[in-house]
Amino acid sequence: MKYVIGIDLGTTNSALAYAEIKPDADRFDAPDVRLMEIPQLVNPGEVRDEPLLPSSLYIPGQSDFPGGSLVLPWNPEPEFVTGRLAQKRGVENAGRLVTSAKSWLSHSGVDRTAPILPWNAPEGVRKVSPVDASAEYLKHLRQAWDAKMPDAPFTEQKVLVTVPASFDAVARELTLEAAKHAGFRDVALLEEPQAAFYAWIQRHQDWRERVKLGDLILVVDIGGGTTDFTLIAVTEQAGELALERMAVGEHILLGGDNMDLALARLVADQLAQKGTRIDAFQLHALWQNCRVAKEKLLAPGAKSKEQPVTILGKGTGLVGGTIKAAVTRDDVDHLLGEGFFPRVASSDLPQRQRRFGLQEIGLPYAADAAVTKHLAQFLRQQASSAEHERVRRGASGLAAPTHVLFNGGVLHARLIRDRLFEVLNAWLGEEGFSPVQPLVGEDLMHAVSRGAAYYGLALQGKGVRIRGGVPRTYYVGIESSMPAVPGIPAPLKALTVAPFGMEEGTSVAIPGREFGLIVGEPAEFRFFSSTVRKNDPPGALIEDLGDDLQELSPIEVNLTSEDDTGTVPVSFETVVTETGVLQLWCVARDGRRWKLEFNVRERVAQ
Amino acid sequence: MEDIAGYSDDQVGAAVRGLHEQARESLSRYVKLDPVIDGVEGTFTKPAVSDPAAVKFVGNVPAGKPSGGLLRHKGWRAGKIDLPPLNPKQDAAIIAPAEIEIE
Repeated sequence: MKYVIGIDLGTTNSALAYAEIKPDADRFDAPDVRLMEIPQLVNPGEVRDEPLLPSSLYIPGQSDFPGGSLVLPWNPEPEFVTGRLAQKRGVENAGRLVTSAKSWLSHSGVDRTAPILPWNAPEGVRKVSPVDASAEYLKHLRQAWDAKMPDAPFTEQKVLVTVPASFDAVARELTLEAAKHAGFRDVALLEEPQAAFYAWIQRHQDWRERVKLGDLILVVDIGGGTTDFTLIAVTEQAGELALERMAVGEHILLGGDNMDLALARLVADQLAQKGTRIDAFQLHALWQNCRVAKEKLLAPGAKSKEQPVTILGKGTGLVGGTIKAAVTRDDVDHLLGEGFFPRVASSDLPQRQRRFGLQEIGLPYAADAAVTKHLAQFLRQQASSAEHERVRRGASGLAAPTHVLFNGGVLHARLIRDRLFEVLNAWLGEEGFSPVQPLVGEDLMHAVSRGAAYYGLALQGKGVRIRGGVPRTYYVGIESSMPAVPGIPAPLKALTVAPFGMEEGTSVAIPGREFGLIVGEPAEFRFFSSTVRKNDPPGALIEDLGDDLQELSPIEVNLTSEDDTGTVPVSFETVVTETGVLQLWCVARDGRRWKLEFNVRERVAQ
Repeated sequence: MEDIAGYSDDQVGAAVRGLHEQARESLSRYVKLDPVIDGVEGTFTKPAVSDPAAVKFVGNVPAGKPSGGLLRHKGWRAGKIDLPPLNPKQDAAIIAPAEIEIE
C-alpha cells in the first residue's frame, strides 16, 4: 500500500483525492493531499481530464453515438457513458440518462437493487439499479486511477468512500456493495461532513490552537442534491484535545440544483408573461445559464444588479431564434433569502409532508425548502445523556455551536453564508450566547475527497481522528402479544439493537429477548432507526413508536441447520464493523450464528 | 448560413453574447493563443523576425526593409494546438449533425 485514496461519491459530481503514506513522516507536517484529474469523454471521440466526474450515466442506444466514438483509454467498447458526455447527451435525450443515483440509493420506497433507472425510460431501454449506477461511477474512478498511476494498482491502495452522515445502515451497506461491484478491495466508508472537517484540519495543522475544549462545531454541507448537518464536539482524551461527532441530521433531499432550477422557473415565468414560452430543452439551457448568472451576481465584489441570460435559437436560425432574459440581483436575493434561507425563529420547524394514500413514487424531495428550518430542527434534537456535558445548549434546549464550517458549492455565495450566520447568531443571541466563529475552509468543491484521503492517513496513525460511531439508534420491531382485534394490526414495539454512538469494531449482545425461529423458514423483522432518540440502551423496549422512528427496509434471516428441526431459540447481537457497517446476528444458545440481511426488495406498508 | 441583416442590434447582441462565450471557451481549450510580438500596442517596436507572414508593415513603408515602427496589432500565433484525435470510423466532413426531435 502506497497511497490512501479518498472518493467523494456525490449526488451530482464525484471527485478523487489521494495522499502518499510516508512511514517516517513527522506527525506535525501537513500531509500532501492531491487531487486527481479524471479522464472522461467530454464529446463523442474526445477524452479529456476534468477536475470532477459528473455523476451521470448514459445508456447509449444504437443511434446515439458514431461507432468507435466512446473509446476510453482503458476500455475500447464501454457499455455505458459516465461523466461529462453522459450529462451533455442526457439533456438531449433524458430517457436514457441516470442521475441522482445516490439519492435513489437512500430511498427505501423502491427496490434499490432492481433495474429501475432511468426512472422514466421508454420501453425497451436497458435499465440499471441504483447500486449498479453508483458502481459504474466508482469503476470509472478505479480505471482512471489505474490508467494514470500504473505503478500503484488501485486495488492495492486503501480507499475511503464518503457517504452523507444522514445515510442509514441500509444505504451504507448498499454503497459498500457498489464499491465491491466496482472491483474495490480495501475500502471503508466515511461521513461527508466529517470529511469536510478533516480537510480543514489538514489545512490547519495548528487546529489545536484554533478551537478549545468544550467548543462545538456545526458542519453545514449543502451539495448539489442534499443538505447534511453534523455537530462535532471538542473533547479531551489523555490530556490532549480530541474530536467527537455528536449528532447528524436527517436525510434532506434539497441542494443547489433545486435552487438553480427554482431560479430558472422564475425566469421562464417572466418570459411567459411576455408571451415567450420555452420547452424542456430550453428550460435546461436556461437552468445552466441561471446558475452562471447567479454565481456572477453573488461573486465577491460584484456590482451589477442584473445579468443577461440567453437561450440560443434552435436549428440554423441561431440568431433569430435567440431568447433573452435577465436575472436580477433582487430576484436572486428574494428567492434564496425568502425561499431557501428565510429568517426564522429557532422554534420554526419544517413542514412535514402529508402522506397521501396514493403518492407518486419517485425521489422523496424535502417538502419544505427552507434550509434554515431544517437547521432549527437539527439543533433542537434530543440531547443524549452521553453527550450531556459536551454539547453546549441554551435554556430552551437548542444546541449552541461555537464554530461553523461550510462545505458544498452552494456556500460559495456570500449571500447564503451571511444569511446563515445572521439566522444562527440571532438564535444564539436569544439563548444568551455570543456569535459563532467561522472556520474558513477553502475549496468547497473538493474538501470532501481531500478530507477522506487525510482520514485514510489518520487511520494509519498519521493524524487526528474524529470519534463518532453509529449516528443513529436502531430498533427491531416486535409485535406485542395482545389479543388480536379484527381489522387492527397488533401494536408494534421497538427493541433497541444498536445504541447511538456505538463505535466501529465493537459488538453488543442484546439482553432479555429470545425469539423462536423456525428452521428452514425465512423470518422477517421490521427495522427502524432514529437520529433523535439517543438514550436508548441495547435491549430497551419502546412502547410507542412516534414520529421519532423511521422505518427502513425489513431485515430477514433464514436459519439453515442440519441438526435442528422445529424451533431454535435465538437472541440478537449487533456488530459495527471496522468499515462502518452495521450487522445484526441471531445467536443460538450454543453459540451458532446467522446474519440478518437487509431486504431492500420490498418495504413493509406503512 | 443565417442572414442576420434583418434583426435588431439588440437581438444580434443577445445571440453574440452566447456565441462568443462558447467560441472563446472552445478556442482556448484546443488552441493556446500567443501574440506574435509581445509588446504594448502604440509603442515603438523593432520586430525580431522579418517573415512577411508574421510581421506586416503598413503606412509609409520605405523602399528597403524598415527597422521598426509603431506596434498597431500584436498579432496572434497558435502557441500550442491540442486537438483531440479523430475517430477513424467517423465522417470528418460532418461539422454538425442534423437534429431530429421526437415529440
